[in-house]
Amino acid sequence: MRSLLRTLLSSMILALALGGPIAAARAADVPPGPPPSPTPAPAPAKDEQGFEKVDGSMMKGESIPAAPLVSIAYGVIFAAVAIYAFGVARRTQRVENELADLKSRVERAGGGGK
Amino acid sequence: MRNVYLASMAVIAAVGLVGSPLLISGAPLEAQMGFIQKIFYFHVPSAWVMFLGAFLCAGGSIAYLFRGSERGDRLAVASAELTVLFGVCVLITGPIWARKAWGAWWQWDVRLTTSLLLWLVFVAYLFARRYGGPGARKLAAGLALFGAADVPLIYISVSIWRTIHPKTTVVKTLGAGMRAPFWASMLTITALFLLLLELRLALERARARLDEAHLAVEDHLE
Repeated sequence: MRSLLRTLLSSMILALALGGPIAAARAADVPPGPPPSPTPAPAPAKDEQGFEKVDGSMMKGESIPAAPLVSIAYGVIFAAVAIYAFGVARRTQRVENELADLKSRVERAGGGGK
Repeated sequence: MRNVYLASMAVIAAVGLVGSPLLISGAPLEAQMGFIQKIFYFHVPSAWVMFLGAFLCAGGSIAYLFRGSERGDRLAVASAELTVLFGVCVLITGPIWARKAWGAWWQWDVRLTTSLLLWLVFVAYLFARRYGGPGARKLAAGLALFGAADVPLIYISVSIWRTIHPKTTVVKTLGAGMRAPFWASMLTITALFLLLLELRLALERARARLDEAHLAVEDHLE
């Protein structure tokens, strides 16, 4: 069981080491949005109901960078799985130790049976 | 046989954990959402294993409630923990994606609300087992059935109600370059889920052995 856990955790570390820089490089390849215009566009006229007509100048490209968000989301899954796997391994080890301790106490007492 | 199964799951998870990020980074950018859509490749598989966990927990709970199966109960508690774990992944990666795609971290949309409800039911399951005292295992098993009943509702919610969440048809209509990374992630996260389930079941089996040993010692002393 421990070797499985070790395989799992080492692949996670390797994937993190490989995936981070590649994702960052890929994010850098994303073409940037149109540059902001030097002079602000005039406010569009509102109709009688107060709605503004939509035009292309409203699309100013990305305001929130996507790459850090994707990295955080990926990191959350990695961290959650790694922490959980460590936690379960620790809990199992504690129970195994308790079992071994109980066994040795029984043997010392000369009880023979479990 | 069991070792072959575990070894193959470990290999799939290990290869997938290294290979999936490479495939995902090489996948074409989605036309409307751009780079943020890449969250899709691990958000959807996390949701799938969350559902799988809920169904396994319900199956184990039915076996425990109607046949008194201890194995069923062990499967139920292990699956419930994994449902909560992958639920956390879904409920964190989803809002991160939403912040960029919708401009808001959270919407009280039916898909999102029922997913939160599923997670809360399984958190309640674990709390009931831990703090519920005598009879808590049966109470928790009942809760698991309600939790599993929420899964089909989550799945069909986007087809029944008006929602801003992408529809379930999005997987079927994936572009050619997106299919391989998606199914690779799906396979990886499923293998990861099955491995974690096995780790957690090993803990339950060790606990059962410890309980038996304590009972045997008590019998011997009497």
